[in-house]
Amino acid sequence: MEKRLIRLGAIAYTVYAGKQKGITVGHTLLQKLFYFLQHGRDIDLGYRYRLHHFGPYCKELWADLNYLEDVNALSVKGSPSGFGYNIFPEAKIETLLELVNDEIKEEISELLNFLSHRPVRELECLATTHYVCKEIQEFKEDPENSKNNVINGVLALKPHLTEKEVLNSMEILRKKCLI
Amino acid sequence: MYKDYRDPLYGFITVNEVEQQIIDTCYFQRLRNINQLGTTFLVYPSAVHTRFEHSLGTLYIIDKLLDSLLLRQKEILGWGMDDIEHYKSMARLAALLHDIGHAPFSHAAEELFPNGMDHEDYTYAIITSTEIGQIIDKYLGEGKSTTVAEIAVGRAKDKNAIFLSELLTGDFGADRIDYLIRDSYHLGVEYGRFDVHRLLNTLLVRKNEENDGVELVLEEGGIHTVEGFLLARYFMFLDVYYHKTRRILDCHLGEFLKKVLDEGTYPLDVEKFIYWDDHKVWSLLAENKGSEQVSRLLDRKHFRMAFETNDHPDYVELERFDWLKDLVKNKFGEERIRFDEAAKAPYSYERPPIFVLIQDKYVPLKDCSSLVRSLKKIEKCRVYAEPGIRDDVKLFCNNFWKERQSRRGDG
Repeated sequence: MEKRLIRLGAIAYTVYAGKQKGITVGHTLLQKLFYFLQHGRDIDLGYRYRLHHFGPYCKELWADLNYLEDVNALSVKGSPSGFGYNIFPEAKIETLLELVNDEIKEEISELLNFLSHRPVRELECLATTHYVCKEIQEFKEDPENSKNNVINGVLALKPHLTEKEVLNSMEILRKKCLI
Repeated sequence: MYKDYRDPLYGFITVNEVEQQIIDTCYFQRLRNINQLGTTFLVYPSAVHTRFEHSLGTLYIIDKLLDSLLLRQKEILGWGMDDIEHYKSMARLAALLHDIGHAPFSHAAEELFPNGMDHEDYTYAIITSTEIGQIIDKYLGEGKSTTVAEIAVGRAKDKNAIFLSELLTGDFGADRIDYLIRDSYHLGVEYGRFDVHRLLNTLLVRKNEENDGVELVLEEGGIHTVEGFLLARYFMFLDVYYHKTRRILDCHLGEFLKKVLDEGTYPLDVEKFIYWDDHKVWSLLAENKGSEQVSRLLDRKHFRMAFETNDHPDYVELERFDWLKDLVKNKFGEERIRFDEAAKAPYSYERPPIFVLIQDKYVPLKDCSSLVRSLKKIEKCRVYAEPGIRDDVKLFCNNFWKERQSRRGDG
């Protein structure tokens, strides 16, 4: 099956599973969940991530959300804060769930548990830290001794974060085997 | 010293000495020989404008956009006078250079870049690794060519660079604004036009306290202008960028180039790559005149459209199209058939996630505009066939589609 259809099914499943777990899936959460699905769990969905205000961001994912809204599988509503969007399941969502296999569903479910309770700032820190770890060659070769480079790299991009937050993110990502 | 370029849309575009130095390099002059709309001139005869004037136009628009924001909201950006000059220079250079890595005929045959790269990777490489980078570093400071390159290709990292990159490459960025009005002007299509000056004057910035970043929002008074902009983009996508004949001609051009390029890809070395422009391709086409592939392009013996979905197929239809592709390939042979899907086109149409400021509250644009709500993402998929078998393929596809539709119960 084309990656595109798998992507649509995976987004639908995320929103659907979120609802089952009592979680409102926001746009930032969805972006970061799919970032980790693709770059942390190596499930190639064909998305291209770039750094944006809240860390890695993919425009095609927003386009896919538009499509799923158009076919009445979900709705995308402005969040009450006036910043960002929340996503809700709609009538046709269940018919899309068969487009995605059980392995991906399991990964999504696990990432939802891992990410959904975290505030936006922490999601930004986790995803940006992961992004920088991936970019820094020596981190792949010697993670212990390149910690400072990662911290400096993240803080150069996101000066409003703190060293402690970045270190904490590295520890969480390591425990979760995402780096 | 400043230089003025006469422009049919904006009157004059003024560049400074450093920008002129960059324009005079062989890398930038090459853009005179890169058609803005690929093979579109074979459908719309006057679509012969190039990336050269679009690059100048993008510089003009980003300058006006920044002026407008700085005039009204300088305090939100938090820039001092020196910062303003520095960031404006970076934005203007990024705008000037944002398309410098395009291959011949722009987006046609993008898949021929090596190692999964694209024109943005080449743009980045040309800005950072050639004399252009040296000129920028001398002018703005060591290493700034990298920041300019990151802004140009939408890979900026720090908050100010990300903001400038959004002004250049975002949903309401200078790139989109210029190419829409420039393309519609040259093609002679009225529906691509919109009130550009009003748009520039109704875009605002707001600070996001959570991440300390700034993002574009819209004044309430700009809703109708944005509707005009989005409608223009919608029609341009359907009638020009995704035109059925233009798309198959792009496909044939890619096939021809794949055959004549060493190892079927553009050179990895940018110094070799820059010799590839439209003129070089035209000369190769002339050398190969009479061949089947060239006839498809020059003698209008291109494949014909045999089937297309509606503009907005649902996911069941997308899945069905996947299935149809396999059946058609098996029945008629892969060589005699081509497929095209809007989702894989270089331009795409979707609703922008921008918010509108209405009485001190931020509301999503689609909640303020029934027109924006009704503009759906375009997902049209097509089957093309060799001219001689087009009718047979058409019948086969239509029969399959109708049968599946009636089984689904919506026929």
